[in-house]
Parts: sequence; structure tokens; C-alpha cells
Amino acid sequence: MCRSMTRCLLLISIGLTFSCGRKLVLPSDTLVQREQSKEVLVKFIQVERDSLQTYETAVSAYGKYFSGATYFKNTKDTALRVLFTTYTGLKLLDLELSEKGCSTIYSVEQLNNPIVLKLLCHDFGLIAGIKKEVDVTKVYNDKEGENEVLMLKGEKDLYYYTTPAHAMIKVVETVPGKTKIQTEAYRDVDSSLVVKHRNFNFKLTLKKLIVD
Amino acid sequence: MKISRILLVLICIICCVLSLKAQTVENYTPVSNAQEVKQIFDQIRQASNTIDADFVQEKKVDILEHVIISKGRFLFKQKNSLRLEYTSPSYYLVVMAAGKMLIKDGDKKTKIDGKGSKMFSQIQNVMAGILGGQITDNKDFKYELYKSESNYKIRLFPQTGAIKDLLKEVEFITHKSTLKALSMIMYERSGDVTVMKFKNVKMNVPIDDKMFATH
Repeated sequence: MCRSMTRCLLLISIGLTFSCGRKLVLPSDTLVQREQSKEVLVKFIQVERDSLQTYETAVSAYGKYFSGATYFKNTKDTALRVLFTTYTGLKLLDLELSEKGCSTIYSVEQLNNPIVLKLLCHDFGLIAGIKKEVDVTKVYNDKEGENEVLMLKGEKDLYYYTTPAHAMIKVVETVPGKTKIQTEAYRDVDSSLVVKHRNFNFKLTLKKLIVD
Repeated sequence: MKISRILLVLICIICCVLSLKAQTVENYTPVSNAQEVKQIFDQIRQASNTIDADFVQEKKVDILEHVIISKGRFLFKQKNSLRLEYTSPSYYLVVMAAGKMLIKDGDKKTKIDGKGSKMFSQIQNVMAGILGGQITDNKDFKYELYKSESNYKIRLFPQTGAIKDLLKEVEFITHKSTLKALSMIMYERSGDVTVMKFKNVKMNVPIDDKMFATH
């Protein structure tokens, strides 16, 4: 386990260093609806205060595969706790996603690498978080004119595809100004959530479990 | 008058609760006599050529304020063949036998050859140690043996490798007269506790080797 994880870390580091990706193509007939606006962002995973959501979780990286369960709990009004364990019950990772960002509460030694922790924080943060108002650079309509695309410019450019009721459809992350897709998060045909990196072989899949 | 009656009822309830609690708390004393230790482990080994049991796994995480419950079936066959089949809330299978390991997670099958894997051999050593009565020969774990009026308790303290990084202690409780496995408790370094309670335990019943196939 240690050796294979170390190899994965090395490959992920190389992937992050030499990244390249395909381009994001927004529909040509998109119309900018609003600019510099404040919008409510509702991510894929929203947890009611004090309730718990459980997801079957799989991480695949460079031919290696790890699986377990992830628990999301809204512990405070401003923070979401993310706990990733093996099926046999061992805690692998404990993160807190808040308005301030992502902090690692606990990680097993094998995951305790800044690159991997940053990556996991990033991926969980892309799909899960507290419902909040964000500063949006531009709001487009999609091709059919039904759904909205919220563009947030920052360290990375983020495109949130949402329904008019703010339900998340897809998230695309690009290199600033270059529209090269780096990461995509979407709901797959079997309703599982997928975070996929275009630049290197790392995929996070979560499927919601109904627990008694 | 009315208040004193209520008070009396309350005292009765408290006494009942306390006496129930007293019945469930076992008072364990250490077994330090080497001959007695050997005798107990021999008894456990002889009684557990095979184990077939259902289990309920409870993981307590303070911050979540929820007990996470999983259920499944546990099979063991001497010397160190193990099948752990989770059926709820999701399906997950781990089979360890003859130095090999199979993990089935949904449609995904992962086969691991345990040769050269320190963690794999450590897990096998724990199994063989607890259920095979070979704990006294084991260098990867320190152990302590306790007995109460009705149970034996084995406390294992990992000494080496990845298991030491993950687990502070593993506790295994077995019934003294039937020698049936009752529970296993894992104390993690992170502070979390996972309890596996065994139910419908059948000892020394025939179990087909196919159940431990790792291909």
C-alpha cells in the first residue's frame, strides 16, 4: 500500500508539473446575462445542519484504485466536515471545508503529502460546500437558454453550470484566460458524482448511499 | 407527599438503570501466568478451527455525532483464511488466504499477492495470533490477556509497520465457556473507535474452501 501510494504521488506530481488539457468551448450563441454580480452557489453536495450524508467513494490514480466511504456533515453553519474511511472503518482523511478554504484535520501517514492533500481538498471542495453567495464575473445562458453558466475568474477560472433554481449540473475549471480544461466535475449516468482531471490520471467518484 | 412519591419512583428507576449497567460491565483481571496463558490460547485455537458469524460494525466518530453502522458476514478457517463480506450499507468483500488477497468492490476486483507486503503479513499474523492461538510467538504485537467471570479479553498493541501507524490497540473479546467470538474493537491513532460485534456465531462448522478463493 505504501509503495503504490508513493508511486502514485510521484506520478501526480509529474502530472501537475507538466499539465495540458483540452479547451473549453462555450456555445457560440451564448448571451451574457449579467456581469459582476452576486449569485447563490449551491454545490452538488449540500448537507443540512447536523445531518449526515454518506457516499461510496473510489479514487483511481495511474492504475491504482482505493475505495471506501465518505461522510459529509454540516458541523457549523459555515463549515462542512468531510471524512473518508475504508470500509473496514479506518479513518484515512478528515477535512473541513469552510469559507476560509480547506483544512486538514487528520490524514493517515500515507496520504500526508502536501500535493495529495491539496488535490483532495480541491476535488472535494469543487463538489461539496456550504451554500453561499459568491462574486461572479459573468453569467451566461447555455445554448438552450434554460440553464446558466456562472463564470468566476480567479487563480483558476471556474464555470458552474446550474439550473435556474441554482442546482449544479457541471463544474469546469480552466487555466486562466486560456480556456484549457483542467478539471471537470459532473453527475454521471448512474447518478454518481465524478471529478476528473484532464491533465493527469486522477479520478474521484462518489455515489450516494441511503443509510438506514 | 406527591413530590416524595415522584422522588421514590425516580430513585427506583436510577437503581434499575445502575443495576442493569453493573450487569453488563465486566471486571477483567490480567492473566500473567505463562502456563495459564498458553492453556487459554490452546483452548481458543481448538474451539475455532472455523468461525461463521454475522457482524455489525459500529464506528464512533465524535465530530459526526453519529454511529456509522455496517453489517456483513465473517468467515474464518484455520490457519489464516479470512472472508469479510460487507452487505450493508454497500457491498464490499475482502478475502485473505494462502498469502493472497482479493478485494471486490462492486464490479471491481483487486487481487494482491501478499508476498513482500509487510502490512499483509501483519494482518495475517493478527488473525493467526488471535484465532489460531499463536499470539505468544508474535513479534509484531505486544499482547495482554485478561479474564472476567464470563469472558476473555485479548489486548493487542501493534509494534511495527503501517499497522502501528494506524492502530493504537486492537481488543478481542471471547466468551469464556463457549469460546465464541463476541467482539473486536479497534482503537485508532486518530482517536476513533470501531467496534465489530459478532452475532449468530457458529464454531467448528464445515466451511467450503471455495469461500476463501482469491481468484
